[in-house]
Amino acid sequence: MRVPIPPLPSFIHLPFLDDIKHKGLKKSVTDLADDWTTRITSGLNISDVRSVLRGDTPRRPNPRLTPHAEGFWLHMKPTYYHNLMDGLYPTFRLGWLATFFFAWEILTGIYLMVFYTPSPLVAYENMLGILSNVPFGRWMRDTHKLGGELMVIIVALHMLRSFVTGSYKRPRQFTWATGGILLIVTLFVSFFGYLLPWDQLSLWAVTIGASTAEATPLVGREMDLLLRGGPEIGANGLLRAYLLHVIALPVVGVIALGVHYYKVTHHGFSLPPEVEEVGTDTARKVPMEARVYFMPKVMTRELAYVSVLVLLLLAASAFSWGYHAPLEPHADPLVTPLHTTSPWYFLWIQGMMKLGDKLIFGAIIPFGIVLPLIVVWPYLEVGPSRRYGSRRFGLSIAAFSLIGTAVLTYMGTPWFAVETSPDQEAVAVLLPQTSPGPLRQADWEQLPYGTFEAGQWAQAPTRTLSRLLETFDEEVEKAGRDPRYVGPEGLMIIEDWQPDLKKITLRVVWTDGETGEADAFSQVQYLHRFSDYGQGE
Amino acid sequence: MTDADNQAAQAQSAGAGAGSLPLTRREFLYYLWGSSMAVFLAGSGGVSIWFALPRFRAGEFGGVFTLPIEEIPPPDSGPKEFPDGRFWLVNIGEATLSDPRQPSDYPLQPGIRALYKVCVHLGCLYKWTPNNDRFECPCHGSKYLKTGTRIDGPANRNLDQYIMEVIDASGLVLARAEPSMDGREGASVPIPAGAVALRIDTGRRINGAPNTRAGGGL
Amino acid sequence: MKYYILVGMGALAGAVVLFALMGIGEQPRMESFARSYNSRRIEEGAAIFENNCRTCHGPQGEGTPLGPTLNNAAMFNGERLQAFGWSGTLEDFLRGTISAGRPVPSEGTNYPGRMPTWSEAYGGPMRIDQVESVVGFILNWEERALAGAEPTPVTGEMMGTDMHVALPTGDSEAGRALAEGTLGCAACHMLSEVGPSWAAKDGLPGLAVRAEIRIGQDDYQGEATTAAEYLIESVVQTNAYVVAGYQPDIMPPNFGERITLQNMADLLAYMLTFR
Repeated sequence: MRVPIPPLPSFIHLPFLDDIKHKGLKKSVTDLADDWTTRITSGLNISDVRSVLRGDTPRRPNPRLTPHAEGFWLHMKPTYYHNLMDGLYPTFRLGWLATFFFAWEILTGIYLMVFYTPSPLVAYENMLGILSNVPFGRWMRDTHKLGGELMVIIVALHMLRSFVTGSYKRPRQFTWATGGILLIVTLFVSFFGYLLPWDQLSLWAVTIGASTAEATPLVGREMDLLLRGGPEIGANGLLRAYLLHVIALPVVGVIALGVHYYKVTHHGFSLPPEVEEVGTDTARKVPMEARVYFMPKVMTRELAYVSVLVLLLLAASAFSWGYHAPLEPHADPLVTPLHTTSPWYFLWIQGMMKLGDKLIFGAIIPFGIVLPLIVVWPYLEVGPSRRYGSRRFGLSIAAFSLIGTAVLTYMGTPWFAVETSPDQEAVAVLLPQTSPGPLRQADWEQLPYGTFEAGQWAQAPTRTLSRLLETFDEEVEKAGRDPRYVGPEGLMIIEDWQPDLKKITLRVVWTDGETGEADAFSQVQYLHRFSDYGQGE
Repeated sequence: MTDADNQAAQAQSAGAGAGSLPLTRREFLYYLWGSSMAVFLAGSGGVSIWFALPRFRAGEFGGVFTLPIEEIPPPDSGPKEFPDGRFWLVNIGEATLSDPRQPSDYPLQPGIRALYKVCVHLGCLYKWTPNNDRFECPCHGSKYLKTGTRIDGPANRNLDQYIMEVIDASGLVLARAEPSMDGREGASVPIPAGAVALRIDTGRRINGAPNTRAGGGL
Repeated sequence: MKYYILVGMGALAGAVVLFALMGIGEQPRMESFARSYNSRRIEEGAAIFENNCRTCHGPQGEGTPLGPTLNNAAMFNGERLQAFGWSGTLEDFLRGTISAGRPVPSEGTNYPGRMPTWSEAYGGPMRIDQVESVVGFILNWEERALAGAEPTPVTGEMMGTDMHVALPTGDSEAGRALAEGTLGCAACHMLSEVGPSWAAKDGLPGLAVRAEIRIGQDDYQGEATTAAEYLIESVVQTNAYVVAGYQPDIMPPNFGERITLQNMADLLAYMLTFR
C-alpha cells in the first residue's frame, strides 16, 4: 500500500518514512519489528524466534549461536551441552540452583531493606513492623530466611557432588578453588544476616561465632574487635554486620561467581569418568550427535525450573503451617538464654569447641586446617583419574568428614554436655528459653486459677492442665534420679494478675541430698490471652 | 530431518517474514507460558507496590485525625492550629462572610474548614497575622483571608482543604466537605445538632478554586 | 518438551493464585500479629514490673507508703493527668515518668524517696523497649481500674489491720478454698518452704498449737494475746513479728485490704484446724 507522505524539509531525514515510501506500510512495520527483535535477542529475527519455539531444526548458518557470541546475557552460557550432562543426573543442576538462590536472596533482601534500619534502637521494632504492618512482609521475610538456609544446604551438596564425581581434577582445579571461596562467602553472608533482627537468638548466636574468631592466634583480638566494632556487639557491630551482609560479601560473591562460572563454561561440564580415557578431558569436544542446544531445550528446562522453584519457595512460607522465621524477644546483652545455640551450619564448630581448647578446636582446626584443605584439595590430590576406583583415599576422607561433621553437629547442639541443674532443666521443658514450649502455647482459657501439684496431674480440672502437669511431673521425677535431689515435687500456681493476664509460677521443691535442707527453684511466666505463641518462633 | 522440518527450513532460509509459518501447538503453549510469566510479573508488581506503599495510621499526618467538637474555635474567631495534621481549623461566621476584602466570585457558607497549612504557591507554611486579620506567606508574599481565599500574591488558587466529616456519637456521618464550583474549592461544613466529633482525612485534599486576579478573584 | 512448558505455566499460574490467596488474608493476619506482639509486650512488662517496681508501687500497682497507686480510676480517667497539669496522652505521661524518674517530688506528696530514672536514654538501666513494655503493662489495668473491679471477688466490709475487730462465724472449708485457691497461701505455706508450714512437721505441732507457743516466746514482738489474734495478726500485719529463720517483707502486706471480714473468719477457722 502506498501512503502519500508530504515532502519534508531536506535536513530532516527519517529512514522509516523512506521505507514506507519504497516498501509500503505493512512491510516497513514488519521489517522494523524484525529489526528490533534481532537487536533485543542479539541475533534472532522473528521467524528465528518462532522456529526456536516450534522446535524446528535451525537454518544454516545457525542464528541461535549469535546471542551467545554477541549478546551480554548469554555470553557465558554454553551454546550446547553434552547429552550426558543436560539432565538432572549427574549434577542435579545444583550449581544452577545455588545461583538461583543467590538471585532470590538478593531480590527478597532488597524488598526487606525498604523497611529495615540497622540500629539496635529500631531494628527489632522494624522487624515487628515488617511482620505486622507491611502487606506480605512476613512472607517476604520467611522466603528470605528459608532461601538462605536452603542455599547453604545446596552449596554444600554441590560441593559434595563435585567432589564425588572428581570434577575438581585437572584442568578444573581453579574452578574448585573459587567454589571454596563461594562456600565461605555463603556461610558468612548467612551468618551476618542472622544478627539483623536483633532478637535474643541473633545476638547470642553471633556472639558465640564472634568469640570463636577471637580465638585466632595473634590477630584474634583485633579480628574480634573489627567484627564487633566495640567491646561487645552493639550499634557498631550491627552496622558492620549489615554492611557485610548486604554489600561487601555479596560483591565478593558476585565476583567469585563470575570467575567460577566463566571457568565452568570455559572448561565445560566434566563428563562421567567411565566415558573418557583416564587423564583426558573431552568436555569441550562434543560430537554433533551428542549436542543438546541451549535453545530451546535447555532454556525451556531452566525456565521451567525457575517457575517451579518460585512456586515452591512462595508456597513453603505461604500459609500458617508453612515455614516461618522465628522472632524471639528483644536482644538483651545482659541475659543469655538457656540452650542458646549458633546457626545450624556452624554447630560442627561448636561441637568441636566442646572437645577442648578454643584456640585449637575453634580457630586452628576449622579455619586453619579444614577450610584451607578444602580449597586447595585439587592441588594436593593430583592423580589424573576421576574414576572412583582410583580415588579411594580421597573418597574415604570425604565419607569420614561427612560422618564426623554430623557427629560434631550433634555435639554442638545445646543438649549435648550443656546442662544446668536438674530443677532448672525440669522447668525448662515446660518453659524453654529459646522457643515457646508447651506452657506458652497451651489454650489460655483452659488454665484455671489455683495451686496445683504436679504429682496430682490426674485430678487436674482441665485436660490441658493435666497434660502440662503430667509432663512436669515426669521431668521432676527425672531430677529425682540425681542423689542431690531427694523427693522433688513440682508445683504450678496460676493467678489472675490483670485483665487477660495470668501469672504462672512453676516451682520445684526438694530436699538437698547432702545437707538435708529444703530447697526450691521457681520461674514465673506471665501469659496474656492474645499472645498467640506458636507462630514459628 | 522430517518433511515438516525441511519445509520449515526452506521457508526460513527464503527469508520469509514472520507470518509465513503456521502456528504449532508447541509454539502456542510457549506463548501461553509467556503470558503466564507476564501475569506473574504483573502480580509481583502489584505485591511489590502494596508491600512498599506507605501506610498511614490514624493520628499521623497522612491518616485520619478525629477531633472532638469542643476543639472547634468559636465562629469568627482566629484560626486554630493543628501542627500534627498540618491544618488550620477555621470557623466561618457571618462576620467573616461579610468581610469587604472577600471576592464575590467564591460563594461561601458559614461553617468549618480544615485548611492545609502549605501555601499553594511553592510549598512554604503560611502564617496567621492577627493584626492584618489574614494569612500571609513569608516566602513570596501570598496573602489569604481566613476563609482561605487568596487576596494577593503569586499563588494562583485558593488554599487547599482537607476532606472533613462530622460524625455523631454512633459514628454516623452527618455532614461532609464536598467539592463545589465544578469540583474545585471545598465547601464549608456547618455543624448539625448531635455532632460529636470531626474526622479530618489528611490523606485527601480538595484543591482551592483558581484565583489569579489582583486583589483576588477569577 | 511440552511437559516442561505445561509445568512451567502451571507453576506460574499457581504462584499468581497464591498471591491472591495470601493477599486476602494479609489484613487480618497483620492485625492479629500486632495484637499478639502487643500482648507479649504486656507479659514482659509484668515481669519487669515485678522485679523493679513492686517494692514501691505494690505487686498489683495498688501503691505503698513508698509510691503512689497506679491501678486506680484516677489514673485512667484523666484526674491524675489534670492534677499534674499534663496535656498529652496518658501513654506519654507514663513513658516520660518511667524514663526520667522524679528527681523532684511531685507537688502535694511527701514520699520518703525519689523515683529513680529508668531509661538508658537518661542513664538508667532499662532499654527503651523495656520502658515501652512497662507502659503497656500499666495501661492494661485500665479496664479493671475504670470498672472498679477487684482481682478477687469480694463482697462485704474489708478486714483492715485491726486484730481485735469482731468477726462473723467462719467456715473452715471456705477458708481452705481461699487458702489453696484464690489467695494462693498454700503455695508458700504448705507446698514449699518460703513460709512456715501450717501442718505439723519436724517435731513442731500444727499452726493452731504453734500460735499459742509463739505468743509466749521471749522474742515475740506483736500484740496478740490469744492464738486466734496471733493468726489474724500474722495475716494482716505481716511484719509485726517474723518467725526466726524467715525473712521480713516477703509475705504480701496488703491482705487486710484484699479480704473481707468473712474471708478472715473463714481463714481463721481453717488455720485453727491444724493442730
